[in-house]
Amino acid sequence: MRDKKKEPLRLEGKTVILEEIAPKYFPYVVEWRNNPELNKYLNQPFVLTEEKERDWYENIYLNDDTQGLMILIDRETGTPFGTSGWTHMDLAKKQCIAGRSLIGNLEFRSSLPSVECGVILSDYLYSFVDTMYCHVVTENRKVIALNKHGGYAISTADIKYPEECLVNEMTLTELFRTKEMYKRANKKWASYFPEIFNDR
Amino acid sequence: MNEKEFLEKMVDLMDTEDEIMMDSVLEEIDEWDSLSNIGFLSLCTKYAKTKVNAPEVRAAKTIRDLYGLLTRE
Repeated sequence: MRDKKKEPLRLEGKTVILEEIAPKYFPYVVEWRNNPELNKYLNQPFVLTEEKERDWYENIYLNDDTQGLMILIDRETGTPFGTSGWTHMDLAKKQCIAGRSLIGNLEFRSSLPSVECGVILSDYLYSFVDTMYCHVVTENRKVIALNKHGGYAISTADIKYPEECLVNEMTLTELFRTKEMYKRANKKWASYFPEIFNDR
Repeated sequence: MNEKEFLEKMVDLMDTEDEIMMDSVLEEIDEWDSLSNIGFLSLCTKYAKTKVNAPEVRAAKTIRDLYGLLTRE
């Protein structure tokens, strides 16, 4: 198992860098996740503090190789602007749940780095899995549409993670995306964002 | 670019099955999401006569507003 403290994961794109969560980023995560403009659909029924974040990090995150949390950093300015990650990594079944996606700094909403971070992380995860899942609060139709734009489709008959579909009295919709679905979506977006997709 | 061509490009960008018209309200179109938003900015770099920035796109309320950004002199 990778020592997350000694060998933190770092993924680099043309416009964005993804660095694994570390204590220096706790203030950002706490600020973003407590922002009422941003946390309406988050699975977090409590006020997050740096102490709680540290406790989770030290006692759960560092000892669990089925999950990852990355901080999104604008390459040009070095500004941290959000998070993205995964849970339920299952190397035997070659599947995981993608999530923890949050653009905390609103200046980066609809920015190239916010687009590229999804590509960088997905490229990385698809080196381990064949299928990714995500769960979105059902009434959050825009984000469901956003995930469909990224190649996901709504799971119908075969719900892989039913326990993720009702959380803290919120009903969530499960979506799935195979590697092929991801590649097909990328083909479309490559024409809009050649600066990200060229040389991939 | 005329309005018909623009609507076709917007339908393609948003990949929506909803009928899109010039007076369609962006907030009511599920597929007008952050990816479509920045995809529209990308269209502007190809087709717009003047520079269009992200705050202007975020301020747009209708498809017609977006067309206005794309075609303004």
